[in-house]
Amino acid sequence: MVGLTWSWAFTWEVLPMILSAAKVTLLATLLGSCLAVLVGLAFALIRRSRHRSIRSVIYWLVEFIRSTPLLVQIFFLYYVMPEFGISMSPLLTGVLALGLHYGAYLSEVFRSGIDGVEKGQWEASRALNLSMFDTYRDVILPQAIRPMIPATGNYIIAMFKETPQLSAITLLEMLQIAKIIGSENFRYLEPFTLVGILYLMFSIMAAYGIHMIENRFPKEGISLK
Amino acid sequence: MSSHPIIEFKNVSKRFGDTSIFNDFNFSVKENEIVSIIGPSGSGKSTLLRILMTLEGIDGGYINVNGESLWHMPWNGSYVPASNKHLHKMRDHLGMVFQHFNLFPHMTVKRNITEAPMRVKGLSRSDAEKNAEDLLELVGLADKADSYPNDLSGGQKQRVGIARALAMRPSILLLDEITSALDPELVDEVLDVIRNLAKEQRFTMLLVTHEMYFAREVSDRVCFFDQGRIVEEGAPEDIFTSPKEARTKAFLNAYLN
Repeated sequence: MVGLTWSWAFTWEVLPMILSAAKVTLLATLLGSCLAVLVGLAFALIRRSRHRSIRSVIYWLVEFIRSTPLLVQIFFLYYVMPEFGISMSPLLTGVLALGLHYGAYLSEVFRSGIDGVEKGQWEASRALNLSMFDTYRDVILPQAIRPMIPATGNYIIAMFKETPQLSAITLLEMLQIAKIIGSENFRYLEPFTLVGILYLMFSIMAAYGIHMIENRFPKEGISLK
Repeated sequence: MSSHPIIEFKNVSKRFGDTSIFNDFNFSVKENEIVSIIGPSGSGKSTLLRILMTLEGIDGGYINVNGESLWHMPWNGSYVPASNKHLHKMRDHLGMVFQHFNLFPHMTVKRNITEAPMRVKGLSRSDAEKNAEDLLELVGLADKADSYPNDLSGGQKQRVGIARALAMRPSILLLDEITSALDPELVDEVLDVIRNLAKEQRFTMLLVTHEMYFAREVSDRVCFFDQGRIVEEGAPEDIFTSPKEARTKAFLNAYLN
């Protein structure tokens, strides 16, 4: 049996490869969270539509996305969509899957943030004859964002930690690279430990960053002069 | 002063769930008339203003504002429920000041006042700001343009609320218990602003108030509301010095003594 002895030489050798795979992981998270915010906002706003049928379509869509595993959605997009003539690269598939999946979760966060804005703000907007678009853009969303920050941040960190699922569709992110290094060298200790440490570091930094953003954000919302 | 009604309620009914607020309610206000609505809580006073401001719908009847139906619009020779576009057009006549101010807390005082003129009326920023400065002068807050609402006292907030409503140049101003949320020593600074507006007689004003002396002073007509009905209405002198109805008497006794 091979003894578990840590080799620093091997660590330094594989670190650059893992760091460059970290870029893919971060890119997938970044693009995935941008998409998730857009999807979440769109779902949240449509859920407030006056038309019951449109509301219920989105309600069931959100329920469906939240109640099926991310991995199933990833496989579906990657292996089934090509049969409908839509094939995408692993990165694009991953970003789309993460964006949709977390967008469904974020839509609930955004919905409660919007619901949290005082009724009087809607009434004043209406009395001033602001359009629905202006009301959301200038009055409601600037005030709704601050309470949304912590939960949104947590979901983005959760998304970041789920990126290894994209290794299942051959995306060369950190875990996939570590696995390849491990099988080529018959040493898994260093690559997997490095991946774990990198995830830990990025998560702690992200959590701190979110905390800072929340603290610096004005309590009343985004200030408009 | 023209005598044609600028606001007309015809057989209006309004319910909240099982509770009937108005039933077959009729009411009208003439152009440039200043009407105070007094009465016990829950008598439908605020609901009346909220219906006019299109914050609440109606369950029956018609309301005309400036000769046009507020909640309905003509379509193929009959009347159908108003579209958003129609409501948008009708709201142009109306402005409202709220009991709890409802200022936008994330906007400076100036931006609170310029927001709607810029977005809705398409005024340039410089024109809107010039207008806002004049209005702040009018309400005595010229030095607060760059403050945020949370840095103001209640009385100052409400004066900004008045300036914000006036910035849209409504022909009808709705004042919904605008001093009820204020500390007593701040009430007068707000009422002074309304007094000055009332003197000019440039708007139709409909005010729901618990300030009886003020209502008596500024109004052309006072309406005493109870349980969704106008129990008694008339010139302020008549209502306050010689009310005819027993309920009006009881209410005023409780309030004035």
